[in-house]
Amino acid sequence: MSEIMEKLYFYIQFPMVRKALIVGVLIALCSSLLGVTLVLKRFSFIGDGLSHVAFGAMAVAAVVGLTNNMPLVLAVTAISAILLLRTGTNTRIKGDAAVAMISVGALAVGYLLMNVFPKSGNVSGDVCTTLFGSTSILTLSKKEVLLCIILSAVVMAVFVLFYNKVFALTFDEDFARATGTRTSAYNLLIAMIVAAVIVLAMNLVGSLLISALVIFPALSSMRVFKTFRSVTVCSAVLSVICALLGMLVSIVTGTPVGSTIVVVDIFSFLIFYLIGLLKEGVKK
Amino acid sequence: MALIACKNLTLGYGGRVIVKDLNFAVNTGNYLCIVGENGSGKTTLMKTLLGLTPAISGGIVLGDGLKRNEIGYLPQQTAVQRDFPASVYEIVLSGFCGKSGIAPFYTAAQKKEALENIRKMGIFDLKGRCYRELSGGQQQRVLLARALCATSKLILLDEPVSGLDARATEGMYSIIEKLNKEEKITVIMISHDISAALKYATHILHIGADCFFGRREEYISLKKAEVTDNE
Amino acid sequence: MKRILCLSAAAALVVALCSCSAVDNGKASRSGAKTVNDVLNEAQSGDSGKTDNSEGEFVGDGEKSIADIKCDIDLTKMESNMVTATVNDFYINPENYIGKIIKAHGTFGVYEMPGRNYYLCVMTDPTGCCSPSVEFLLKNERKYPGEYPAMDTEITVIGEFETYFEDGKKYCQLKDALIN
Repeated sequence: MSEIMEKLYFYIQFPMVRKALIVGVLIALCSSLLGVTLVLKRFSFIGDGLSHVAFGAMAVAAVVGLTNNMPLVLAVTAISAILLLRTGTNTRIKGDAAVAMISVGALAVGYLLMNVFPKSGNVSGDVCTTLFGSTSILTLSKKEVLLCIILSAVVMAVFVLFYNKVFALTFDEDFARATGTRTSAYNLLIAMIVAAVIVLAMNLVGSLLISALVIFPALSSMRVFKTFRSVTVCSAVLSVICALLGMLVSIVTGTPVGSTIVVVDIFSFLIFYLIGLLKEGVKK
Repeated sequence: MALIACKNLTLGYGGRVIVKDLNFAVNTGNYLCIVGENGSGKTTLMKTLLGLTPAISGGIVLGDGLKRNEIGYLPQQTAVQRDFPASVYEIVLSGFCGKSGIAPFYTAAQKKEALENIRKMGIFDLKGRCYRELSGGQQQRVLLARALCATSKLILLDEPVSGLDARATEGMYSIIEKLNKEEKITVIMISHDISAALKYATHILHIGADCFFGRREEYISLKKAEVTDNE
Repeated sequence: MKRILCLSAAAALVVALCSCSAVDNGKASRSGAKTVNDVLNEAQSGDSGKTDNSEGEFVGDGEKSIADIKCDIDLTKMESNMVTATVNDFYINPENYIGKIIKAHGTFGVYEMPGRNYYLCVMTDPTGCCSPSVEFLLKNERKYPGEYPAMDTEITVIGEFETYFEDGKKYCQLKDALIN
């Protein structure tokens, strides 16, 4: 035990580790806040779909030779988010099919481009890092850290200011629109926030695991808590704890960061599920 | 002046016309029941009245100082909503969403009114309970309380008693009647239940192959005449 | 109740089938491992004399062995995540490392280019995902390939971090390096 504490103390001295922990916590916080809305609107897989689009955008940016790919990736992901999250019965292709088409298409095209126009010697390594986020959170440049912090602050501010609108839109969009709320504007805002969070979260857990970061904390909280506010707060707190724990464990044991965080999330879900069952049992 | 009126309204969606040239007007204090066969366009009409679906042609006129965000709505519930993790109070309070504009928080007055509406619906003891744990009838009352938060003038209800048992149905109808008679709230309700419509409504709108709009008594005598004709 | 029993039976069957094949694989790999170990032992015993000589040869007469040299950053003691992150950080924030003594363990690699060769210590991470590598310049000039280890041999390298410019780009390497 003391050996683990020694290692931890040793690693915390590294500025890149401290940066990673801060950014990781912020990303986990933002994803969990959005997760509650996305899960309830039955858009759980949007994280997956959008992250694959971001992967495709990154591949294009690499091929074209952009040094800073964030603006392009954010723009492309935001546009896809707006297209995919557009609720409306007048879309020809239904929600889940649209997500699947765009997500798989982007992944395939991205991988193809990366192989046909390789910019670095280690294509499979790059792909692996982007898909699974092995050490990307530990290798952030100062600029990227700053961008993450700013985006997280914006996401959290928007969420706090528009909490009531988000609730109304999540519970009953038709009612909100019928009673005078400008739902299309708020949906646009939510879509852009989702895109920003997805692009940020790719740094922490990689494309393939983003959905876990978004949905697990929300699902866990919903097992135990009964009001929207308590579900949201619990989801945020849980996500931060799991991300912190996951990152520390992975740094000390050398396991991949993304998968470790997700495994911790899974454990917490099981624990909350059991607590939920017990609560119901006690009530009866 | 009518509270809400339709002038030569043609309804439909996806390019399909469902109802043509509809004309009717609802005055303050009326209780209008919209009846008709399945698929005749009742819900489409309601959605068009609310501005959720655009009309193919014709117009909807609001009068008596009625504003778009002063219309209450009780839609049919979706499966997602039945299973939603939120307290009764949170849901009812969200009825003020359209009225708070860009303001991030609800005012104390709005919160007080929300509690008042919960009390009016007879579910005050449920205000902290989780929505998904309530019965169908209780959930409908919660949604009605929410609709009241959005309006004090006009309320649109889409089959408010569908799926409810006899006692809950009765309770729902009597609450709606109370709102209409005592609070002077104008009611427009879609119903499959003709007998209830004839019991409570002041006006009937029948949508179908031939549309009818008029007072309840006229509708009754019209139906009687049809029956005698057929014999 | 019946449903639960059926599901449990199905789950148990699946687990049993999986563990059967796993046991078989385990046996195979153990016997396989034996063979690999045998080969390694042979190689080591065959080369043991040579290794001693090589060690003496690379470290140089009168110089300490690598284990005795104090280092500022010891990559051999870190987990793979931190190794990758630190090597990456060499390139992002090189000014933090200039003058520091760095120790690393990996496999020997070389980039042969017209004009000069670049010698690397390649540290592969277990998932094969990333291969951070560190360039080094030996303290005592040696001729390649004869006086260098064979490709992909395991080496430990220790040296002083410095940056250098080539074709307008900044690179990092360990100078005055010693390897064994």
